[in-house]
Amino acid sequence: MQRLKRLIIGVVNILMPIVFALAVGAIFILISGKNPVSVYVFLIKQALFSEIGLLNTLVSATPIIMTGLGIAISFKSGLYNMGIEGQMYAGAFFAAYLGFTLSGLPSVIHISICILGGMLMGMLYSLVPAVLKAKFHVDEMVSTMMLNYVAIIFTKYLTNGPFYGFTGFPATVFINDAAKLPRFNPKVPFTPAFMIAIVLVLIFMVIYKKTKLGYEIEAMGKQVYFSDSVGIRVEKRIIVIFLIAGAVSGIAGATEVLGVHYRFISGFSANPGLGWDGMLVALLASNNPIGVVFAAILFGALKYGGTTLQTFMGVSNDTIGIIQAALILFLSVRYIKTDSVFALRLESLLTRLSGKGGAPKEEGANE
Amino acid sequence: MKKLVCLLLAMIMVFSLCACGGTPSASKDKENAEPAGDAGSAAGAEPAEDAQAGDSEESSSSDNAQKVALICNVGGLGDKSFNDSGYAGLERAAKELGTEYTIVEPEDVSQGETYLRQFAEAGYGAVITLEYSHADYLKDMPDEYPDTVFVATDQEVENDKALSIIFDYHQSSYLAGYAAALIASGDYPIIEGRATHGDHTIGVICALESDGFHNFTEAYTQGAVAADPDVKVLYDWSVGFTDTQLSKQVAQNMIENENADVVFQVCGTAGLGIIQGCYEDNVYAIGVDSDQDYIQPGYVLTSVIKGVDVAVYEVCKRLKEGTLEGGVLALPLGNGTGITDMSTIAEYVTDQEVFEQFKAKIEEQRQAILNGDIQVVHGALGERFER
Repeated sequence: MQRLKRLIIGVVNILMPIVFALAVGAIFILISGKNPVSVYVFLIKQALFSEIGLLNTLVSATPIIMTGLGIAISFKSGLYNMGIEGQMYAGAFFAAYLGFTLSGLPSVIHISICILGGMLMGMLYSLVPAVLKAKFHVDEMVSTMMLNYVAIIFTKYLTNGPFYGFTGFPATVFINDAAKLPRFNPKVPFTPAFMIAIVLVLIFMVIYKKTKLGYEIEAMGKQVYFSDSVGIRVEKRIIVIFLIAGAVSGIAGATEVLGVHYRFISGFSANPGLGWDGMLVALLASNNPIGVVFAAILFGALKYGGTTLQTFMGVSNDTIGIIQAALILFLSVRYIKTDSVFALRLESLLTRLSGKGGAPKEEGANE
Repeated sequence: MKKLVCLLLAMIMVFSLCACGGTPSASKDKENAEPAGDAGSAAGAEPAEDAQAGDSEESSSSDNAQKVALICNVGGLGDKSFNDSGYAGLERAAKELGTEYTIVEPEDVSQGETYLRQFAEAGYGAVITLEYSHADYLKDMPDEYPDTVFVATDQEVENDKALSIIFDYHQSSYLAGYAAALIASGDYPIIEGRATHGDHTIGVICALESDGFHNFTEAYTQGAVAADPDVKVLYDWSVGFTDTQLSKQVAQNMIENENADVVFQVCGTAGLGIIQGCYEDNVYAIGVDSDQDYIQPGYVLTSVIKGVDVAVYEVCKRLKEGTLEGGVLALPLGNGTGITDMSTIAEYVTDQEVFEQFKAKIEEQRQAILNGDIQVVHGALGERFER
């Protein structure tokens, strides 16, 4: 009963901001002289109910799933790791570097090396704020945020300077064909990257549900000092959690390079960046791995749908930006608290529906 | 309890509304399309676009054969340069040729392929892209979509089914170098008290080093030497495209420590910092890509223009005439590329007589290039200028 109640409240809490954000978007679509209903219907049809569209949506969602997982594990344990973006850049560049320097390897091995390399680079880069936080109590929010700029600007230097690919814009040369992730449909860069993302989601679920680390993450997120005093080695755990987040972000960067761009392009993650999209996704999903997948697909659909809106409906891409921004705003409101009047009534309704009679249970004060 | 039921009912109503919206809206689109398109023309869309899209893209392929799509680069519209120039070309084509067009601004580089394919699948007659990185996709894509002509600007695509638009801006860079060296020689003080080092020194600042940038610098040097054999040209290849502070510092170093009188900026947005630096140090800048004379009036000597608008218009025209096909479209000096007519700086000139002589000398060179009397080095082809 409690579970069902929590589920309903959770779903409502997630749906409300989406509905409100779409409503705000509708205002701007109206202003630009279009019919919001037909625009949204078209968007959904294009992004989810056509083969090409769905695949494109998943392509857009793939990196966001991974960065979302990275953010989620940090937030869950009470660490404000804002460095996903930078770790992704580090991973992406190193994966591209391995992609164009190594040659003569079988495809599977080359791809694995690139992805592992990207992962290790992401971890290495997250080690800096991790150690600073664990050993010297440096505020991780500041250090990770600043390190993002370091990564973005340093890779910009690398692509303009030593690794400039003579392309006319700041990018490296192409990676070798063996390092490219194969496409399932030649028209869409839909690659095994999505499967990698799903496997990562499963791994995260196992970590949360089945391991000691999962329990410790939960405990640290609730009360870090208490966790410390009951014997959780918080310092070590901080480093481990940072490394895990760095690893998934590194993989996200690597798969973007190997599956979409085939080279490192300076600023490939654009504005506001895949790492930041990941943060929104984690917020929307309240750090739940399965939720991250759905939220990322929503974002992917908006992203790809936005392109079709521009192409076929003449609706500016900025409308999608407005919807996303509104989503962030409305996300910050908790619409239904677990102990609100609505929640209590919902519970009694559910109890009656289930026919077990209104046994007055004690309200679950643990949430 | 009542409230809860009401709330649930309301929610059901809302959702059922959404669900119903599905089927009839497509037909509703058609009715709405015309007025909606008119009202939304600010967004650059054309009427009746909705109708086709909402109905089915498959059947609309033939209707779109006369349509032109323009994909901006990541800078997007409002850059007062490349993208806006392309848009201007489309608007002119719409007015004069009745061309229907769609213009899109990609959010990031990964969306290039998506857009190119969307337009090709919809059967657009011409898909013009202003983004440099899209040329990668155009190596193979034209073979998949024979009915669509892909157009890349400012670079040559390795597929002759795509149309590559090349601007011969080495010739205009020659003229820019010629003008710069005339100023630096001290013989043409067109504005009293500005650029008075008289040290025969000019500079050029590039975003990075590549053949594309040598195309500017080699010809610029050649022009400068033609005007003044004693001229010293300073180069910088390091500033990138976006860092206005860095570019400003580099420019001011050239001006303050090495006595440069004119600095040519070839680095996109970062160039705005160079123009600012020239303004603060009271010397001249030269703009790039589009008419930038107005950015700091009186301090921008001229601008080396790429005529994206001319190119886009030409593509629309060819599409209408049915002669649009792959290959290379080179826009030489006078047709799309060139330097500005210096009408902006003319308002600040203190010595009209000298200014007229100055302009006449440049015009002389221009004619000589057009007649073929002067061969300008083509840096993009790997040629290098040697004194």
